[in-house]
Amino acid sequence: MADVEIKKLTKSFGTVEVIPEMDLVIPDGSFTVLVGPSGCGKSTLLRMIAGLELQTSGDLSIGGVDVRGRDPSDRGIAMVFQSYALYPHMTVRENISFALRLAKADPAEIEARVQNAADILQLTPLLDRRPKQLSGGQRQRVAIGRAIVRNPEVFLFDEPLSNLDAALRVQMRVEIMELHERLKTTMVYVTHDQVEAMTMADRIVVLNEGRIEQVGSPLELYDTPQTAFVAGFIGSPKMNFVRGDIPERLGGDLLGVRPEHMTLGEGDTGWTARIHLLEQLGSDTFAHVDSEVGPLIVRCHREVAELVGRDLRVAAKPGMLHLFKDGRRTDAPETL
Amino acid sequence: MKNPANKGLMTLILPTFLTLVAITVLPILITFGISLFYIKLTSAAGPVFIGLENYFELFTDDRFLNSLVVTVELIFIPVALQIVIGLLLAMILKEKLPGMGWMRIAFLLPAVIPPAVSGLVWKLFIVPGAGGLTYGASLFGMDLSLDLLSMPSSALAVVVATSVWVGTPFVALLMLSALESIGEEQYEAARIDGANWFQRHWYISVPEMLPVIVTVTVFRILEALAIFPIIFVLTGGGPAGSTEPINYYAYVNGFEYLRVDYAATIIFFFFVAMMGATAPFLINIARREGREARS
Repeated sequence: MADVEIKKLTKSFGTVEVIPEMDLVIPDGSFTVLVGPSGCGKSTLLRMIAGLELQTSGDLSIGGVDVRGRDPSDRGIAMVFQSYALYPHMTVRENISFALRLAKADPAEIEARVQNAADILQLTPLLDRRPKQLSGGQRQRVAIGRAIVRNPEVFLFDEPLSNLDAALRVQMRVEIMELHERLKTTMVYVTHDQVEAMTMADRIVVLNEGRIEQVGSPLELYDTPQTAFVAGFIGSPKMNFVRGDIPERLGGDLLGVRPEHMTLGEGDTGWTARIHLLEQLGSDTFAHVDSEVGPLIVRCHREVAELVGRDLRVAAKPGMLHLFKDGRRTDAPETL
Repeated sequence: MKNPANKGLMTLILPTFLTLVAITVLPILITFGISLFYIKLTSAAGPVFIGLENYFELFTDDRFLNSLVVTVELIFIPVALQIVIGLLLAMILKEKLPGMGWMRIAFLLPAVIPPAVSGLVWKLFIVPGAGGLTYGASLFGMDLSLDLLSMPSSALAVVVATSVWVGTPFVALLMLSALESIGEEQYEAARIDGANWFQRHWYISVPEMLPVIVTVTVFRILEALAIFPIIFVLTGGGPAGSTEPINYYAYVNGFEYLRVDYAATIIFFFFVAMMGATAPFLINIARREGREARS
């Protein structure tokens, strides 16, 4: 168990600066998700923690120990890759025990630790198979098993679920969360999928162009996004944004309202609007609306289907406005 | 295996099949045929059928038996060295070090130089007292002016060195392409698991490249005696037959002693021996290729 502390960390590839300067503390025992769009530097950051990539400057310590210049195997970390990175010619047992065998551990202890990892991940019946004979989910469990046997202080996950189909992804998400519950080890998890970030993390770090936009719990990020980028990135469907006169009148340049914080009906308050498309999810209905302030998405009841084609009004619920100026959050009034 | 979709394919395959028969199967059969006769090119009398007599002669011919030993040496030592050095070079060339692009090009030179020229290059390199080897040794304060081609063991060593020099780049290139097809994340996972550079290659590269290594080895063995021009230029099979492999001995019989029948016997024997030794591997490789083509 250990925290990860990053101070004034920078990374450049040649003349391209990927991470300008970063300070971040990943608390001991937390499940921290690094999330951001492709190319935001989240994988590079993870690989620097792992030691697979060297920082250009700055300090990096794991459990209070400066790990600069240390080999990846010497940092107390274990990593799970997107491609699983299993050794194809080795059986599951050999894959999981590889690190221990390299370290010339006692065979009885190797067996015990492999068995323990296999029990946790329900891999026991598969121990003598090769990766080729396993499904995607099973392969990812082997990759996690390979990480577990090393008893790492920090687990690093690099988009581990991206190669799985949707149903399996949900199942593995739960399994990784249960693993964290059980081991209570610090886990750092990289994903570009904000749903994964919201559901799994107890802390989310949102990255954009190598900079940290905001750090906080999933609900903090959802309820009080500190930047327009976070507001637009977290939440599905995305937050509705209105530009122009309306935010300027309120002292900002961008006004945001989440789809579930809007009402759509035949009243006489709000902006005039017309539904042009309905997305029926069963539990929810999302109405895509053309309004006088531009296209908006509103979460509604399924009865809204009867209102298609009529002249409607769309309004924001009181106290649910997000106002931004120059990309930063600023105080918003209760109502418009 | 009657498949109506395959109807008419025979017309497409036939030209290749007939060409192959004409340029490989027929010459082998004719060679075998010649080996069953006594032929004297300098006499007006025609060939006399003598059955397998030439084959019995083979096993009492000391020079032939010696050439068998030399053949084994000239096949297995260079091929083993080519595979080991080629593999190591591929591992080094895979590293992203400065200047590697140029290294790769420089590296292929021996493979594109005609073998006879390679032989000459080496002959000049080891000219006693004047070649590059003497000069190189003098830089380290050594006086190396021996004629390496005049002693059996050192002459064989020179032929082996030349053969390795000529054959290794191609092996390295094949190994490199196999190496680069292995996912980088496996090596990263192994680094995290605590494997050093050598261990990463030993536990990941070598096992995963094994099919390629076997294939390359088998083909190098089959091609190993293509160093004929190198021997021709460097040693002419000498001294005392120490660098005279079976094909060179066949050449001597056929073109110097004009014993075409005996030369044919040697060549046919060699063909059968090589096929016997490599057929299991070749069949395996063909089967694997077939499986991969289907899947």
